[in-house]
Amino acid sequence: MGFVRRAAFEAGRLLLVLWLVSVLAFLALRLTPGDPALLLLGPQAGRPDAAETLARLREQMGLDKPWIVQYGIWIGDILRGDFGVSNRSGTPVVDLIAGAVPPTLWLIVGAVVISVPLSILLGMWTASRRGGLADRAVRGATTVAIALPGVWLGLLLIILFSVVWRVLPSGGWVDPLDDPLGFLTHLVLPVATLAVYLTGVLTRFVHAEASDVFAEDYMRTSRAMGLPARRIVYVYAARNAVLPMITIVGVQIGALVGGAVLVEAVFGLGGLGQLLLSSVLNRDYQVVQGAVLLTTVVVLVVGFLADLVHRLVDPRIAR
Amino acid sequence: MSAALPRERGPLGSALARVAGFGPARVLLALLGLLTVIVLAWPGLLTPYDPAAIDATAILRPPSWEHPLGTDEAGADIAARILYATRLELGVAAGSVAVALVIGIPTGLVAGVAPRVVDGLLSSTASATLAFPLILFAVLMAASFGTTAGTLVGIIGFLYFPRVFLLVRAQTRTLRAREFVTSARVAGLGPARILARHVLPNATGPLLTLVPQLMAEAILVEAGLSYLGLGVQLPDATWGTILESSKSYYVTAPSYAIVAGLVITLAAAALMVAGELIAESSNPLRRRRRP
Repeated sequence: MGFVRRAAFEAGRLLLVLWLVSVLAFLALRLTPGDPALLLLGPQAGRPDAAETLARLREQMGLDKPWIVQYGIWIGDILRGDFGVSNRSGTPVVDLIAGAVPPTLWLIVGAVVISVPLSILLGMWTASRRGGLADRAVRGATTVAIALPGVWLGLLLIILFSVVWRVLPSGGWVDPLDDPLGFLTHLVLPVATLAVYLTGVLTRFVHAEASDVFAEDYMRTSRAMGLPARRIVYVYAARNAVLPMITIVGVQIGALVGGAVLVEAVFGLGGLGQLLLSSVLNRDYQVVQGAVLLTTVVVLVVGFLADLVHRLVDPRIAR
Repeated sequence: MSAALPRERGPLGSALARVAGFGPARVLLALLGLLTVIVLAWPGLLTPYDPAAIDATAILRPPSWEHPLGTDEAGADIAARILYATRLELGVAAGSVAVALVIGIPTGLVAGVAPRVVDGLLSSTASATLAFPLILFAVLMAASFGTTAGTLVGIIGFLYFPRVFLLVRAQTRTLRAREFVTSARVAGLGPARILARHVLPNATGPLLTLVPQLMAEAILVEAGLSYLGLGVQLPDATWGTILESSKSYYVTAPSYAIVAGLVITLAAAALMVAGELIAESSNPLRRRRRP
């Protein structure tokens, strides 16, 4: 398949996936008990004229229409760039999401920036000493890194660095523009928590890729030609072992967003996860739908771009 | 001069050699598995305490001879709580994986042989589920459908069905071109029978390695959801809910949070290693050279 046709095919599949997610996000709250108008009314729902107010509220929120119409209106608005407003606060959904994105985004960026180089080094190093003590030790460490519940690792780091040693803050979000140093110190523990998981996953991946590369003929040739071992491992082999990592980072973005949501909760960063959780509990339909859809778009697009970049830079898979 | 022949081993010797050849990982795993079976069958065997006991005189105690893992905020023995929570914890994990298998195997088999349109639709649904951040989805579902062990099983199972689906689909695609499948078709067997009798049995090896891996991940997801308050609710308890209740006391009773999470980590790591060992023994190509 040509490159253009392949890209078009993938884009079509992306749209199908997006549509499915939009239906899922739309139905999840509506299929389950809990009336957003009633929740919004709160204690006033006990008053004699409540039924009338309730009906008016439902009409305002567009909940009196059949589901299919509500869905049509929602999608139609989105296609015009309007994600609606929060049922509770009246704030535009886009503003709410934009406000919640920075902590989540910084967490993920920080974890990727630390984990990618670290895992390349660890993966290449252990793969070049396959079966040795270092290899087995790192392999065990990656198993533990993946098996650690993120929320627990976060708690452990807080206990160590904030309670016992008192060197780092236990949580909270500081805007980088207000206080750059505070921003960094508040981010160290959350980023470390997420980076441990990501480093575990990526190190295993680099190790597996590098092991395959070391079995190639050109590796033996370059060794036979007397090239320095270090140069063979970290230049020639690394080049081929690391390229597929682009795709894996793309695939892991979904897991990272999920991990970031939990880490946010531990450190009270108030990011996307907390916005979604509180909106689900308040049955704020527009916010939940918007947040779910936008997150999925980002995850899918990042994965898609990663795959595309990988195809462009690695001629071997340009099928 | 004759070369020294290796001495013949007696039956006991060869059995011992075989156990020694298992390596420490297998022995440890076997012991852990045995312990788990005992705890599942009889949680009260290893502890004299009632996990629901309230003892105002022993609140948030650090580990001691009396309470080896300390006590919680109600004065209950933490070790007892963890032991008694094992059933529900592993029940949720195993149940989720069972749901994933029940949805994933038939759909994967169908997608492996179905025309492109059907395959495309099934595959897109699977990748839609896979693309979405799992925890966000689980939060959405758990907060909407309520938080009981049953809904958790449904949610986590649904989240993991694409993994089973993709594996079975890929296996079916490679297997259906193999000669024994062609001969089965030539012999006049129907497609359903071929899938059930010839394709599925050959896909069980990879599935067996996926099951412990998924169980480990289910335990971790359950812990995360519990931490957000979306796990099973008291008086039911899993390790996740114990970890969740410990989080308020990390300053005064750090050992509470530490042991709660340690059990989860240990279980998840053991399951992952078990999956790897199964993969190694079922696929000689992946077996690592012994130094």
